[in-house]
Amino acid sequence: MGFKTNFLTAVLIGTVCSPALAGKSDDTLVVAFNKEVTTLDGLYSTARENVILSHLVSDQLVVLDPDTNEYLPALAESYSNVDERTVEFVLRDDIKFHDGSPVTAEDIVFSFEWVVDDRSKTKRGAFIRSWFESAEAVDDRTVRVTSKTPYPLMLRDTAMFVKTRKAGSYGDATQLDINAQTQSLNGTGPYRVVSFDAGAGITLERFDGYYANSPKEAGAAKIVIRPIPEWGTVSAEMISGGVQFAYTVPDDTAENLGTLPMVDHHPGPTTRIAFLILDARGMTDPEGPMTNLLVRRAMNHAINREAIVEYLIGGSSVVINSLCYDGMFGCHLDVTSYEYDPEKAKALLAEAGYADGFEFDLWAYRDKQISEAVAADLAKVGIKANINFVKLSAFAKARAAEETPAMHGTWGYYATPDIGAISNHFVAGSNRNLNHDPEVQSLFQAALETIDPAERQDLYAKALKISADNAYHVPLYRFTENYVAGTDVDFAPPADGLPRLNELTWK
Amino acid sequence: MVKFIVRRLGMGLLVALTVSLATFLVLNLAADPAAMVAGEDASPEAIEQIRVQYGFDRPLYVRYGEWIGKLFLGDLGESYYWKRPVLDLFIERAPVTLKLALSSLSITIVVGLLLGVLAAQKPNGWLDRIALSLGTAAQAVPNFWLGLMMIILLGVMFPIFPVSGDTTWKHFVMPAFVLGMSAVPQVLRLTRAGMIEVLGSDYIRTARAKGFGPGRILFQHALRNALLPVVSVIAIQLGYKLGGSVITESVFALNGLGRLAYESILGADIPTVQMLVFMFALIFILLTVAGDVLNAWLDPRMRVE
Repeated sequence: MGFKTNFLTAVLIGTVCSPALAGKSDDTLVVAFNKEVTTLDGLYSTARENVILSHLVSDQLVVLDPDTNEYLPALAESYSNVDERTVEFVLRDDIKFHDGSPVTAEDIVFSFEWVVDDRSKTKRGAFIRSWFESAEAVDDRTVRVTSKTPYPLMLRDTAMFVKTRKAGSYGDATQLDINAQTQSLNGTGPYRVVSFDAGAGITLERFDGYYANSPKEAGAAKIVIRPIPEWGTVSAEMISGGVQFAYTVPDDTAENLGTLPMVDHHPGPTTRIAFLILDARGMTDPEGPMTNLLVRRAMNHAINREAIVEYLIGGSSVVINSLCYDGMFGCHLDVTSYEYDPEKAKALLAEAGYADGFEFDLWAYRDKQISEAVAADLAKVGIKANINFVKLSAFAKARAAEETPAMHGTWGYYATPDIGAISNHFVAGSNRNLNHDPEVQSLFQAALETIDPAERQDLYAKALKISADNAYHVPLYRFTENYVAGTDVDFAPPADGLPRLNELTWK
Repeated sequence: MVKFIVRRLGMGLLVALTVSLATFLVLNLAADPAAMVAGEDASPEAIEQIRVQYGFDRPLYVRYGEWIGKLFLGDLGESYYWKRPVLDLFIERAPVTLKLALSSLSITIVVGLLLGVLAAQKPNGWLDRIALSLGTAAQAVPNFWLGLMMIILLGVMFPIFPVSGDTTWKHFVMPAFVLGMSAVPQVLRLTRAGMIEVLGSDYIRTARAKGFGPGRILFQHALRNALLPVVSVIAIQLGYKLGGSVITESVFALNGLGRLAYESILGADIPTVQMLVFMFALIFILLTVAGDVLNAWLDPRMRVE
């Protein structure tokens, strides 16, 4: 008998002996988070854990449907474009905060104004300020939000970054308390917070006053979120029935758990992608090899992305040819692609005058095994990549100082299936843009100020084509997300990789 | 004695401040704290905004000076992540670590002393060999492996204890055992060596000649002297354990100081890291002084020195 069989037998014995701690019997869904939720206030954390929590406890005017990429009315019963810069939202008449008070137009205006208020120090403040002009209450149930210039992602930002808060939630003008919602949150979502202790976890229960016909109906009566940093412990809890759901599970752990009779493994897609950014402009070295188009094309041909996806990533991961993927708004697929062909790569290098290859620093901060696979492939054509694997903060420091000849980057798109959400890799003035191609920059900038979808598609198509022709990047793959759930939990992986715990129900 | 204690405590405070300065410099120079606080996908504008808001754009000496100034007013700062005073975080999580430290130390002392005394009775005898083998095994087994094995055995196969968490005493049994066993070899070997030396000394021979029973000789006469080095080691072990065990706390999902340290270092949460380093240094110094005082009580000769 192999280890797995022995383990399985042991586990089965244990299952017979073990009492059900929580779960279907008392309608309590226990979820393991790999990291702590440090604050309940989603305005002050961009961590994934907070995004998942905020979806449960905080409703906004609209919510994204990941299957259709449409923004569905949530606190708003309807919305419409007044002009290219203004969207009008009409609120439902039965929406309440968790303290029982009604959500009014005044609260919505406050929510927008708080996010952009310099004193609030919210995480997305700078981002929203870049487009936000005003929010105004037309009457008790109508709010108009206006941008400085036409801004196509206004609904996205409204759905994800502007959390609904009751007017005055953070004190008054004389005494502000930006931490007022950190430990106890007066939210608007289908679940309210019963208890919160960052290290021990969060208990949520269905909010009785939640409005009918919401696109975010509550599932289990209670949701308990427990931070468990060690995956071996999460596995034991899944097996013994102490936890019913976990996400971001490492591939091998998820696959092993999936072989057990009490756990289902659900691999699913995510909006996160991986790629290399090459210093085509020559910021680190004006005469550097990356400034040569032939070299950049050679690097694209040298890397076996299919093998990386098949053997290192697995799940539902796929190879990408641009910094976006099929199914995302604005992702034009008909661009130059570079098949794996080391011989062609060598020929291109020779043509570029680098027949003996060259050496460069590849900066990376996550997924080291991928950086190593990339370096190994490059080595086969004579290019020596010295991997500079550092913490994110050191990576960001080097990036800001323009010290990176090449970066192994990833982008999560803020779970937004719209290529506009990666604009900072293409527009002028961003340190994630290492090519500074004026045409690509202006096309992306124009698309960011265009509302008409067809026009936007056209602008992105042109930009992506130029970018691919010039091999400014080495697009690698779309990530996969591993979820594990108890076999009595009904769960389908979402298209954007963001588990909506309210949608989990019992079989 | 009082002068000695005051001088040691004063030195301790200086050490704690020096350590905090080193931590502060390393955290700020090795990485960009603004980028860390802003998060993985933050825009350059957001990073710059945070740099100004959190004051990262000010010179390091100004920021460290401000920290010291506030420290003397009892204000250790506010966490960037938990959005709360860091002292509150410490007070909230210290009880879990304290419970784990004391329970695991009890296991270390009981098992270590017992095995050490038994082993020293007859050096190289079968009892000695078994005790030393157990000690070697305890030293060789990594904490995380032992922790996971215990979880599989006593949490999953035979669910006697809860797998993870820290709400009841049952939650502490497995982690205390794991953490306690890791320090057993040190105590065992010191006790054994001390006992072998003491048992061969003249005054023990005299005690035997006087006709005292083996129990009285072993525990009343020999152990007290053999304990002197062990006391210092136990004080240091308690210091380590009060500093929180990152691995044990992580494996058993205990909400203690070790995990707080780990999470705050990963997130470059400078105020929390600085507070923890400062507090750990203080605890260590206090325990070392306490160990010295205890030794002085056990050995009157040291009082004279």
